[in-house]
Formats: sequence, structure tokens, C-alpha cells
Amino acid sequence: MQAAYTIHRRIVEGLTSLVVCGLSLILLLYVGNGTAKQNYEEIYIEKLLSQGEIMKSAIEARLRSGLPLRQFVGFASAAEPIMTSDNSIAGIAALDSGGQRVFAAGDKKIDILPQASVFRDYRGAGELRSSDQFFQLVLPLDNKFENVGKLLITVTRAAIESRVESDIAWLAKIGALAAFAFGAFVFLFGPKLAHTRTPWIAICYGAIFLAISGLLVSTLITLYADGVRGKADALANSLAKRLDDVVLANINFDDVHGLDKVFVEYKRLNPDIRAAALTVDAKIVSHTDPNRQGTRWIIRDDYEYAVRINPENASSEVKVIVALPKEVVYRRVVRSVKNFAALFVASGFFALLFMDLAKSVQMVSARNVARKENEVEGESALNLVKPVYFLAVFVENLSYAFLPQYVKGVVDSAGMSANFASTPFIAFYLCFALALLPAARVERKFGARALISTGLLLSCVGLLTMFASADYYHILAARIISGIGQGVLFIGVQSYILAVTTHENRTRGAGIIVFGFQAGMISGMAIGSLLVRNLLPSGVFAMGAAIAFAALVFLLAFVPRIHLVETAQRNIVSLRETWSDLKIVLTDGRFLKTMLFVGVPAKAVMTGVILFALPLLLAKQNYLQEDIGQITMIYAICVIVASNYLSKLSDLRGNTESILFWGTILSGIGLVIIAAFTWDQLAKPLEFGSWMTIVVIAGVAIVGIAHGFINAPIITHVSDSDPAARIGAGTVAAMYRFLERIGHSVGPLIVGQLLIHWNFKADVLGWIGLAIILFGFMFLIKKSPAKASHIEMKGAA
Amino acid sequence: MFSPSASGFRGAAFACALALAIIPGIARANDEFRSEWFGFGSEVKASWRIEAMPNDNMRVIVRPKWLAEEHVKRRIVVLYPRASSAYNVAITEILHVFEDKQVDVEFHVINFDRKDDKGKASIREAEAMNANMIISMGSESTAWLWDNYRGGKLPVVTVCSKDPVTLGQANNYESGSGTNFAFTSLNMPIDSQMTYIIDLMPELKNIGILVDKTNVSAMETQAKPIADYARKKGLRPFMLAISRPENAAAELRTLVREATASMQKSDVDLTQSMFVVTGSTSVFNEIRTINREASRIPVLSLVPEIVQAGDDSAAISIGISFESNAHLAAVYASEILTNAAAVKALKVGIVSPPDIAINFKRTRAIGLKVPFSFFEAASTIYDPAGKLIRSPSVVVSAKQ
Repeated sequence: MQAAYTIHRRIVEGLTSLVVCGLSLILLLYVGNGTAKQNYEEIYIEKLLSQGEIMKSAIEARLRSGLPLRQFVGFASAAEPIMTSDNSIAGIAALDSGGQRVFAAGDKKIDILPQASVFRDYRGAGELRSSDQFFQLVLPLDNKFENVGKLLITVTRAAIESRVESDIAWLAKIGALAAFAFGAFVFLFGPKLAHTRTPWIAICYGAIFLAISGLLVSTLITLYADGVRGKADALANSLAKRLDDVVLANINFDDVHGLDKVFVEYKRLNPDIRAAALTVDAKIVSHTDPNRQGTRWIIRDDYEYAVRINPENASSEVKVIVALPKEVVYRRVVRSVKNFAALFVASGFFALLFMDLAKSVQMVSARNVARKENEVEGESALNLVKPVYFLAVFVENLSYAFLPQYVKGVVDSAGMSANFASTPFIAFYLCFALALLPAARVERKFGARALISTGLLLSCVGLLTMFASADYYHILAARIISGIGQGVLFIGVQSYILAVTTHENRTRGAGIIVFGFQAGMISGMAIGSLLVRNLLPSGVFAMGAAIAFAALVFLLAFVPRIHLVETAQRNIVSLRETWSDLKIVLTDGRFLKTMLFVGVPAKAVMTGVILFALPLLLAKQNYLQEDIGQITMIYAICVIVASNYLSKLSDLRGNTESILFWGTILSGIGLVIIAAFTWDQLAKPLEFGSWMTIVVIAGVAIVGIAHGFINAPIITHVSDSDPAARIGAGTVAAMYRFLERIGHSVGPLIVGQLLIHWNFKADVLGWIGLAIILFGFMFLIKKSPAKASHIEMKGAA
Repeated sequence: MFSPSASGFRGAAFACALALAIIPGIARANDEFRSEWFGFGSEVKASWRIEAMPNDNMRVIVRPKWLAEEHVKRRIVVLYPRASSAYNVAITEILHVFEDKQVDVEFHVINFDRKDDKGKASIREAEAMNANMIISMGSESTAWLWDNYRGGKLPVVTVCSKDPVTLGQANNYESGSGTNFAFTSLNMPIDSQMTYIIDLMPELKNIGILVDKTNVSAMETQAKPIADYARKKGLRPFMLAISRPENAAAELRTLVREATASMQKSDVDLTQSMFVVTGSTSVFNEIRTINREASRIPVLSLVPEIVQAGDDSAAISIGISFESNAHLAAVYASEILTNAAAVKALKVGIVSPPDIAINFKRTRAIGLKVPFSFFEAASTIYDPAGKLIRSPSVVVSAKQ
């Protein structure tokens, strides 16, 4: 029965849609703004370095000839063009070895930032220091004998940020308009569209999200391209500065030789440029390609930067020209935009979540109108618990991008042995695993919702502890609390899902865990690494705690209780009974073979190959860290997508065995494909987007899809086993979750040993793939050989 | 034990005249201070108080003006063997560096006149006054101290001294002496020197080495090593050594003319030949004669000061000036005083890149193209019109 569309309901739905769309776009633009600042800053700092080098070489040329720094008279003329060309630069100064200011241009009151503010160390070639207000490039000034001072170029952070913010601001206005338009659309057409088969509201929401994303990406491209071109301009100026001394000295270029070496060396140091040349009246005097000497400069489809180095009124025109291929700018821009992918995906997950949440809240609202109680027990309950788990995983992963360095810093500053740095991490995983079985027992007494609440509360306390103290032992305690919290929460969510789902939609329910885990992990790591730049670790911990608390409030307010009668036994069973339960599952053939041939190998492949071996092998092939991270992300996305589809299919067909079989087989095939990336014909050091990369991505994607076949259906599969009838589906699922940790643990161990034995050749992954395929067949044959020939790939069609 | 050569005095005399000519303000005496052997740049007086000892005319005390006497905690004894304008240049530079670094130190400059007893008395006095260091001024002081104070209590830093490796005082250029000596060198290592020469003329075939046979140190540390190196590399060395310095002009006229003719047999257009003028005073004093007889063959000097304005100049010089060497010695001394470096660990101090001076009027006249890297590194440049456009005190700073 359809709930009536009153004006009140239309207003609520319109407003909800406005809020959901607004929140999604705010998050998208926030991460876009954050990543743009980060990347633009990087590009800007590269340009600043080039400009700094121009000044430094101009001063040092004189210092090396024996001139004391105080007697260098060209400071103002060297600083002036840099200051004029870039209004972000607040000041340029030269200090002597005693730290006294000798020269200054621009703001003369800016002091050298303290040593403690070093943001980046260029190993003897200089430092970048930072404060809330400034970035400061500190370059040493050396003569032939020693260091005689420092050159400071100070940039106002706000000026760099405003360049980004002005570009993002107009997008924010468009986003606000779009959100209002969406709200109005739902208000006006919601009732009508509710009866159509096509999900127009979802399509409209997706279209707005994608359109704003497209505009954002286009803005990023413009921004980054400007930055890269600015750097090339600075490079041209640096070369011109070296050569204009010849003109200033009234010497002809015919009086000197070896200029070609200067150009060849310049190209070697700046491999991105296509060519650089010195021309006199457009005739090439020297060129990065010595064969071009004497010819005329040919204009190509490049970005060209020309700097005249002799006076305007001179009879001839002497120029330095640097040509930068457009593809270099494109490549750099694409790389920067590609690095936005993780954040875009994270924003997309949140957008999906907000939409699901809105639907669920609307269902609750509709229930109040229609009084259809039973609906709550089903889909809306699942949809309501989904964001809770997602957020719990999200907050846990917010700190993962920086936690290792953070803990190491704490250990170092406390003067402790470096070995202590890993203890909090080990403690977390140990407590997570150890909490699983007791949590299952507690759930029988207090129910799944209580477990989820406890898990969220513990996560919140763990994060608050991290926020409040940077003491090593407090951090250790916090990680223990968080580990227990996440373990308890995991079992709580799993039990809740098992309780509110029927046999027909159980796999779909388990898919929520897969989604929550993978999407929460990706989003948390991506957004956490962005947030830490502004909020610092303590701020991220505080924000994590706040989100965990908000999730707890949401849980208590919206997620319905489930009746304890559905969760088998109510009493907390003893340790002996747990052991007895464990014996029951471990002596069940179906459970055992599922665990040993499907579940444990799948987890071992995830931790041992995807998270451990593959990054090592890719790094060996000179892949950048960010590319490796993105390839790993592809795995997670494929798991989510496949899991979503396969969960529905599994519930529809009910044949989890064939889905698990094909998942295992596909996983093996994926590994064999990954192993192909060192085959001789493919093993060229190609870049992202090359054949080699495509092969790796294809392999990783297949493994991800394969694990999407396994992760959720396996819970349904073990929950349908004989032991489930005796000790309860929740207990069996918890036992399985505990036991599959064996795969998590032994994966890196086994794969690591194999890699060492095979001298880090990717071939080993191929052999592991073949073994996994064999396991797939053993999973079938051992159970019911007679049926094996009848297995059809029903689920994967 | 101590036997100064006649050429040493002649060299000193020329260097003295040269330094007085090219370094503005070098004074041997002034209203407040007079000394027969101790000179310094006049600007030194702005920051240092120079005091002669009424009872001892072979001793001078130099105190910083920027510090009250009671705040001066460190003392350095500087041991001179005799008067030399090169030492005047060196002490001036050393005082500049210590002033720049604001090191609290006073200098007790003692001329031991190359006499053993005076030298030994100076050492005893240095130890008795708890001096922090001895600076050995000149090769003669260094040789004497090496023989008489190696392993002594006080650290010794050498300045204005010849290559200690060639002279057997240091084992190599890469490690410290392992003793109380920290050496610096006025000479470039021969490999390094020749690398620059080959850079200047990659197709070099003939190399004429102009030296005074009686100047032992120039023969041993410059002429012979260059000749040996040239032979090893398949070049043809011409050892053009004058035997009577007082007749240098006539001898050089003949030697250079004959060498030029001989070189032309294997190098018709004289683009693969070069003359190298060593640090022999009697030889580089005749630069006009050498240029005239050398035809189009470039004349390169190992003494930076021989490149000057006008035509009576070497085309180019690659070497280490007294000033640069003294600067490096002062940096070494400062590091030892402030415990930033251990004396035994300091490797032989060689200024790098060397001091390069170019006279574009000469290079253009003989059609020699100068490597751009030399141009960038040069500390002294005269433009084609003979105008000084770059030197430690002259900078072209803005577009014309």
C-alpha cells in the first residue's frame, strides 16, 4: 500500500533531497578544494624552487669570484622581476652567516622562520619552511670556501590559497543552485515519479553529482596547467639569467664555446622540456640538439617561453627560448587529476550513502503515515545500519594514512626503541580478532544493537584518547580500545544483518559489510590524508571521535531494535561451550572446506598479494606510490561493485556454492594475469596507462570481482550449514569471521617467503593463482563429486 | 737547516710590487703604525688595532676593536719568515674573515727571520701564553715548523704555502695529515690543473712550459709535474727554462720563438698549442716578450695576478690567488678554534673551483674561444676593450 503524498510529506522529501544533494556537493567541493590546494601548492613550490635557484645562482656567481655578500649590488635587479611576476611572493631577503639581513625586497619585516618549521628538506640544497601565514624557501648561499648566508623567498599562503579558492567559489554557487533545484524537483515531481519504473530522482541526483564533478575536474585542469606553465616560465628565466652575463660583459657569443654543453646539461636536468636554444635574430647559436646550431628556430605545437636577454634598443635580438611539449603539461595535469580519483570515489560513496539514508528516513516517515510496521524489519533496517558500519570503518581509517609516521614520531621523541612503533598496530589487530568470539557470546545476551553501540562508543573513546594525549602508552591503550571496539562492532553489525534479513536476502545483507568495509576504508584513508594537512593528527582524531559519536546517536535514534528471540540463545555461554561450538564447526565438512578452500585463501590473497606483494612488485617496476595506491583502490571498488550485484544474485538463485566456486576460479585467473606483467614482451618500463599497467589493472580488477563473488555469499553459505541449525547462524558466522583471520595473517607470511624464494619475480603470483584454481575444484570435488559436473555458472551470468 | 733560495726573494719582490699595484689600500706603514716587515690593507684598521712592540720590532699584536680586551679569550700566533707583500695580502684576508665571523681572537704576529733560535723561542712563547693556534705564513715557515713542531701541542694551519703533497708533507689530498698540521695549498693538484687546460684546448698537442730553472719550487711543484703529465697523456712538452733570471727577456725571446716554430711543424695554424707561464717571477715579468714571440699561441698563467688590463697580460690564468688561499686558511683556523673541525682530520685545503681570470682582449686577439664554464666561474674578467668588468670588488649588476 502506497503512503499518501501529503503536502507535509512533499515538503519533508523536498527538504531532505535538498540537504542530501547539498551535503554531497559540499563534500565533493571540499575535497576538490583540499586536493587542489595540495596539488597547486606542490606545483607552485616547484616553480618557487626554480625562481629561488635563479636568485641563488646570480648571487653565488659573484660570491665565488670572491665578493663578500654585503658588496653584492645586483640584489634589487635580480629580485624585482620575480616580485613583479608573482604577487604571492611577500618578500625576498638575503641574510649573512650571522643571520643579519643584508638585502631585502618586498616586506622587509619578515624574519626567517624557525628551524622547527622545516616542511621539506632538499638535503643540503635548501629547505622549505612553513608557518600558518607563510611558506619560506631557505636556500644556502655559498662561496668557494663555505656557507656565507641564506636566501629567503617568502610566500603568503593565503595568496596561493586564494588563487584556488577563487576558482572553486563559483563552483560552490553553481552547486548551491543545483541542490535547490534538486529539492524543488523532488517537491514538484516526487509524487508523480514515485509511480514510474525509471528511478528519475536517483538519475537526476547522479547527474547533478557528475556534472559538478565534471566542472570541478575542468577547474582543476585549468589551475594545474597554469601552475605547470608557470614553472616552465621560471625555468626559461633561469637559463636566460645564466646567459645574460655574456651580454652584460660586452662579450660576443663567438668569444666563448661550450654553450652546447650548458644546453645539453639543462635538458638533462629538466627532461620535460623538448628543446631550449639561444638565438640571435632567430638564428640558433646554441641548442639542446647540437645539430640544430646555425639553423632557424622552428615553431612547433609546444608551449614556448622566450626571454630577451639584450636591451630592447640593441640592433640584434638575443633570446633564450624554452619549448615545453603540451603533452608534458597534459601528463602532469592528468596525474594530478588522477590523484583526485580516490577522493572523488570517497565523495561518491558518501553521496550514495546520503541517498540511501534519505530513502530510509523517508521510509520511516512513510511508515509513520502508512503504519506498515513490517517494512522496518526489512530493507530500511538494512539501509539504516549500512551508514553506521560505513562510518565506523571510515573513522577508523581516517588516521591510517599518517598513523605509522605519527606513532613513529611519538616513539622517537620519547627516546624509545623503534621496535615500539609497531606495537600499537599489532595490539589493534590482535584485540580486533580476540574480541570476535566473546562478542558473539555477548550478543546472545544483549542483542546486536547493543553490541554496535558498544563498538561505536569504544571507537569514540579510542579516538578521543588519541586526541587527548600523545603519550605512547596512552596511544597503545587507545589502539587496544579501538581494536576491541571495531571487533565488537563488526560482530554486532553482522549479527544485526543476520537477524533482520530473511534467507532470501541474507547475502545482500552480508554485502553491506563488504561495502562498509571497503568503501569506509577507501573513503577514510583518502579523506583522512587530506584532512590531516589542515587539522593535524589531533584534529583528525577529534573529528573521527565526533563522527563516531554522531553515528552512535543516529543508531540509537533511527536503527530499530531487534527482538532477542531471533538470536537463538540469550545466555552468555561459557568458554567451554565456545570451545564446544568451535569443535562443532571445525568438524563440519562443509564449513571446513568452505573455510580452507575458499575463505582463508581469499583473505590470504587479499593481504598477501593485493596489499603486500603487489605493491612491492610494482615499486620494483618503478611505479609511483600514488599509482600503487590507486591500483589497490581498483581492487576495493571491484569488490564493492561485484559484491552488490552478486549479493542480489546469490539471494535470487540461492546457489552460493557455485558462486563461491566461480569466485575462487576467477581469483586464480586474476592472479595469473597479474603475473603476466613481468613477461618479457610486456616488461618495458612503461607509464601509467601502458600495456603493462592495463594488464595489472585487469588482473587486480578480476581478483576484486572474484572476491566480490566470495565475501558476502560465503557468510550466507556458512550460515546455511548444519552447525548453524545447532548453534545459531550468528555464532557460526562469528566463528567463521574469527577463523578467516588465519588467512589475513598467513597471507603476507606465505607470499613473502615465496617471493624471497623466487627472487621477487611476479611468476610466483601465477603459481599462487593456479593453486587457488585447484582449491576451487577441491571445494567442489571434496564435498559432492557426483554433482561437480553439473555446476553451472548460474550466479555469474 | 734553513736555506732560502735567491729566487724566493726575487719572487717576493715581484709579488710585493704586484700586490701593491693591484690591491688598493695595501700599506706598509701609516701614521699610527710603522713596520719594516708587516703590512696590511688600510681598511683593516677600521676593525683591528695594530700595535707594534716598542722593545721588539719583529713582533706585532693585532686586536679586534669590536671587543673589549678582557673579552678576547683566544690567541693566535702567526709566524712570518720574512717580509712579503703576498703575506700582507694573506693577513689582510685572514683578518677580514675573522672580522666577518666575529671570532674573539687576537693575533701575535712574529717574524722569526728564518732563524732556528727565534723560531723555537716563538713556539715556546706561544705555548706559554696559552695560544690556541699557530698560523704558518709562507712555505718557509711551513717547512721549518714541519721539521721542528710536527706533533706539537698547538694546532698549525698553513697559509701561502706550496703543495704539501708534492713536498712530501702530506700523503694525499683526500685525508687529513693525522698530525697537528692542517695544510692549505697555493697550488692546484696537477690532474685538476691539466683538466682545466684540456677543457680550454681539447685538441692540445704542444705545451710549452716557461720556468726559471733557478726557482726550485716552481720547477718541482709546477713545471716538472706538468711535463710529466703531458708525456703520459701523449702531449709534446717543451720545457722552456731560463737559466739566468737577469737575462730573462733575451732568453725567453729565443726560447719562445724557437718553440713556436717547432710547434708549428705539427700544428700549422697554432690552434693546438699553448704556453704555460709558471709562478717564476723572472718569467712572468716578461709577459710582453712572451706574448710577442708566441704569435697566435695562447699564453696561460698559473698565477692569477698575471692577467691584467691591456695587452701585457696572459690571455687566461688558472690558479689559486694568495687571497683565496688565505681565505680558506682562515676558514680552517676558525673551524678549529670553534671545535667545528679537528686539525688532524682536515684534508689539504685547495680552493675549488680555482681562481680564473680572463682577458678577452687577448683571447680575441689570438682567436681563442673561452669555455663558457670558465666565463661563469671566473673571478676576474677584462672585456674586449680592456675594461675590468668582474673582480672581487667590481660587479656588473644591471642591464646596460
